[in-house]
Amino acid sequence: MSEKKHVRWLLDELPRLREQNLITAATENALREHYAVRLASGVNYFMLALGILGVALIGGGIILIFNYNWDMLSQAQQIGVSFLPLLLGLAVSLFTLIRGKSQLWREASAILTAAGGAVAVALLSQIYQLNGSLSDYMTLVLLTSLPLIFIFDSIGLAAICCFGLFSLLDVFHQPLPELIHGVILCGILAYLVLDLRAVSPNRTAARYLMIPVMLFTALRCGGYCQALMLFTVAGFFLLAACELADGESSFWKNPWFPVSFVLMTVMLAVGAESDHTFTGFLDRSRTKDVSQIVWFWIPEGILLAGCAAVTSLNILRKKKDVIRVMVPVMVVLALIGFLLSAAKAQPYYLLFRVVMNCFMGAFGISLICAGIRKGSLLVFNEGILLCAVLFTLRFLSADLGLVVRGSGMIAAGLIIIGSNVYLTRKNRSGKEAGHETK
Amino acid sequence: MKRSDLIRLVCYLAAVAFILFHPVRTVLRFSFPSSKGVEIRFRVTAYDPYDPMRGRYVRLNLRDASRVRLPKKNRDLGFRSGQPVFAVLDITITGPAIVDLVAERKDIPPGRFFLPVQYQWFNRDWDQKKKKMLKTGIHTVKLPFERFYLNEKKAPEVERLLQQRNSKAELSVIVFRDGVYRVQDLIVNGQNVRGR
Repeated sequence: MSEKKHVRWLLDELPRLREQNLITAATENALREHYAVRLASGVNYFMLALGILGVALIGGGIILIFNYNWDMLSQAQQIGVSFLPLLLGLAVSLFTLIRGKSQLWREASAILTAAGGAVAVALLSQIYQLNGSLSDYMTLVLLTSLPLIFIFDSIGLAAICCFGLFSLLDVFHQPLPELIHGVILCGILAYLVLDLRAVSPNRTAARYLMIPVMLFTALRCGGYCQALMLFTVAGFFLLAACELADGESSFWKNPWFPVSFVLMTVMLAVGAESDHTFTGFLDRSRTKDVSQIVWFWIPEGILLAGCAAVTSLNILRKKKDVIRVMVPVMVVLALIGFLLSAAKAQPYYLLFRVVMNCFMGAFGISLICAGIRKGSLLVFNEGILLCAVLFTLRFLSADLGLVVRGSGMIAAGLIIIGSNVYLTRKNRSGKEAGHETK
Repeated sequence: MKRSDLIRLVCYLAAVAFILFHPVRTVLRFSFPSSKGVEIRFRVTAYDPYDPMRGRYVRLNLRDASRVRLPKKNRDLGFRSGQPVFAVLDITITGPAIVDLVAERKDIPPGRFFLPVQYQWFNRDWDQKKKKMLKTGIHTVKLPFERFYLNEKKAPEVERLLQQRNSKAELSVIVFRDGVYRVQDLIVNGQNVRGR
């Protein structure tokens, strides 16, 4: 039975309870007032979705009608029409601010104004036949949207901008990052960091949005040595995710953990398998561009400083679980790998790979042991994942027959299933024993 | 009205002014230009693509105009691929020609028309007799005209015209002294496409 049904039943019971003199009239009124709030209808998401669909269809229809008759309009009329969406955004925003409307209105105002500006620029480019790249257009749109995010505290517009950042990447030519892109990135990051505070209602959304922003940073600025930046991103966010987990954030409110753990597993697998993980740009680069190195080391330096700060705090607070110990070691190993590649110390590449393999195995086994000790299936399976990836890598590159490979894979699968079943039963019996003692 | 909302309102009006700056400047620049521009016609080949975002447009290929042999700088200038540079134009009776490529705007000779372009690569000449590469060659640049927007009924018609043998297409561009440009029209076999 849902909570509302319980509340309704209780409210129906109140008059009878009063008649039987079990409660006073004042108590009845107090209870009625207290529980009436629970019966208030919340947001009807189905109606909201229908509303959005309806507005989108009406908007699409208006655009198509204008599109069909576009050539019949004079240039002055076309220019006038270009500014209509911006005027609509302006009207809604003024209404919202003057009347002090709710956050939903503020979100709509921010998005409508930003979209109005974007439409005006796009239509004027079409009217005057001005050609330009998507990257230039999006730079202008993102830059003009940035103040609106702060003015309306709009997480919706921030989300659109976070994904819009990827349009600044030029797939075919990868010119150096521009200062203006740095300004846009810093603006979005500043907003998200402010929203990560515990008092912010948008903190969970901000955590999710940090993921595409960091991915964009790694793609845009990491050209000098992408692998090192990805290792550091994974390391920093794993350490930060441990802090969030300590604050009792549930799995879905802590997206940094699964994403950074998977990224770390992939990077460790690449490091354990390839001699050239950290070479990439270092070897390919013909022009030793200083600005490329500067653009790399600004975010990389901040992330490394972040890792160092969190690790120091963990040491001071004597927090010594497996991830908090192993992740800083991994970041240091990645730095050593980068230095070896920069020094072109090829004789040590094989040794470094062996170290990476040993580290991955040790990390996995430590997590499995910690999982069994704590009775945590999540920690146990994190270790299993690392060991399974390492086992697959080593197993596939070994010179073994099909029968041996097949048997090995079956054995590995059985071990994973068996150990999970064993741990689940152990946890359940532990809980039952706890109940009996209570 | 709350004080915080009043501050937001002032900031919002400033933000709208910031948003309006570029579109208003575009309108003023092209509808009320401060100086008279010059019309330049580039030979183009074109085909008619469609995409759901941009609608119907003619995609332009300016192969002849984008491959240039500079009279005075017929050598590798050290520009990297994708670098934005300025193409200095010489407008003759036979048509426009890029006579120089410079990285900085201050290097453009005064009074000359120019266009912002994207440098692509340098193709060195091949000496057939000595069987080796020469220091001279052809610079390839990307001119800033890629699309010509059309009414969706006109675009296939223009494409049909362009597919005919001996059809000649030219892109009419108005270039202003400060390097600002706008595409005026597409001229196929002497006829303005917009005015058809």
